[in-house]
Amino acid sequence: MDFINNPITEKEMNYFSLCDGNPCGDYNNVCGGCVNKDCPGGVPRKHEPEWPWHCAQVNK
Amino acid sequence: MKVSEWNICIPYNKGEILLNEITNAILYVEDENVEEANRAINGDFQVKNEIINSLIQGGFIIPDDFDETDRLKSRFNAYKFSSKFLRFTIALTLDCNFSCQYCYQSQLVPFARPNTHKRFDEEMLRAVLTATENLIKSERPHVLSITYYGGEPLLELKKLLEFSNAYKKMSKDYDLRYTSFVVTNGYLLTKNVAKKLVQSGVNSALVTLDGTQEFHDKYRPLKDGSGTFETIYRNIKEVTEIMDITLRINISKDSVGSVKKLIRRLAADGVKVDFDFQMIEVVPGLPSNFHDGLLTLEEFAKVEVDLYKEVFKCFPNYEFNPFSEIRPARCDALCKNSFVVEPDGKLYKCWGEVGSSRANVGKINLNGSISLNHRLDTWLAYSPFEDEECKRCKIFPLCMGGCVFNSLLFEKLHVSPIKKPYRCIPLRYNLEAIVKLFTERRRCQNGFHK
Repeated sequence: MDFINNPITEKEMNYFSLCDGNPCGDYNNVCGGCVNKDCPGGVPRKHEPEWPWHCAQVNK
Repeated sequence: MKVSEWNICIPYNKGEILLNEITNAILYVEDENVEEANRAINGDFQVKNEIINSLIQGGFIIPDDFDETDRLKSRFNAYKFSSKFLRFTIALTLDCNFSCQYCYQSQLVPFARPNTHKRFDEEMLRAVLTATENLIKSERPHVLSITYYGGEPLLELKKLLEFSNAYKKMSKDYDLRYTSFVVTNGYLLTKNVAKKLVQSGVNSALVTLDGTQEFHDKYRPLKDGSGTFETIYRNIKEVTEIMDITLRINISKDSVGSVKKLIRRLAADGVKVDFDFQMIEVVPGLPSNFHDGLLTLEEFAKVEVDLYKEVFKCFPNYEFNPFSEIRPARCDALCKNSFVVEPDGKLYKCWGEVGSSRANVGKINLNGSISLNHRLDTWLAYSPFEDEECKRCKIFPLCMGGCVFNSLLFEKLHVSPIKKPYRCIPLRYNLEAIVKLFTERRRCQNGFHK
């Protein structure tokens, strides 16, 4: 049995609720390389160079 | 332990796919485990530990005292009353350079109250900025989210940049994240304009192309009737290197083939965009120039799946996961700190109200203070949990009540003269197909088969 899409926990949901939409593209299973090891997603989008700031905020 | 009320079981090849709508978990069950997994999700938990553990992890089996409706309500209320976000949709102008056949704003004109302020003047622009700053101080949001809207917002590029540069600075001053995008017909979105937008913090745009030239130019001409396709297509090609483009494609019964052609042309030209497929909706009984065939929601749901298949064929690396996020509410308009601002400073909740000027929930005054009225209570009191039809729907947790335009603006507040034809989302009709499509794609990408 394989998870094709991992279950989203409430903790993760709260985390992503800060992101306003879909900041990481698609973190679930295919996270493309994180800017912060503690972040379940946090892939900087092409045109959002300020994104690492956000990870720092969440992990304060 | 008990079984979740929100499990969907979909036969898939010789195995099956399980979706839990509370956690968005999607579990592929191989044929050798199907029988035991089915027993478990029907309440017989005497099966292999490995199977039970996966089902618990995915939320398919839950503790006896877990009330899933309470979980949904808790998410919904937390989202609705969250201060994390401050969202403004700024209708920079009510004017437009296009004359789209299906434009809902034009359809509403006969019912609109006269609005003499069609564009922001400098005084109101300053007032909105002051009001935003006041709200940042009082609400302490983490994210300032601004959508530039219209009419056609790029007709007011100077004002848009003035807003956005000010918001960018404000976000830095108050240590919050500024996220913004522009909803535009794309006609004026040249490379030069895109550069200015990105510089001011507007990193993405929603641009509409309704298929290839034949259909797009028919549906979305300039005011003088001339075509717009080639200009927009050229603009999109040029700006995708500068900013993220989501291509909104409105579809009729007649234009499906043309939309597929457009997808193939974009792929051939190496133009990478996100796709947002929508059905053309025309409110029955209101004057409209649109005479092509309209898809029903059920028909559109099938078309949507077909179009995604075309996208995957043409763009093998296209990112697609409709289940990557949990949606605590259908629409941001339900949140306490989300407003649409018109050029006269009136505040609304729904994008669909722009131009009709009937049901404001308040106003930004010239000194930057905000006056809110009783209609805001109606918005904030809305709960999809009071809607029996929605609660019984098999996709309720994924949809959370559908579009609230009809239930709030038409039925409750009596301020809209029209009802939108549909409030439901296509997932009501294509959930299984979308889950299969997603699973197929994931398994291919992960090298599980073929």
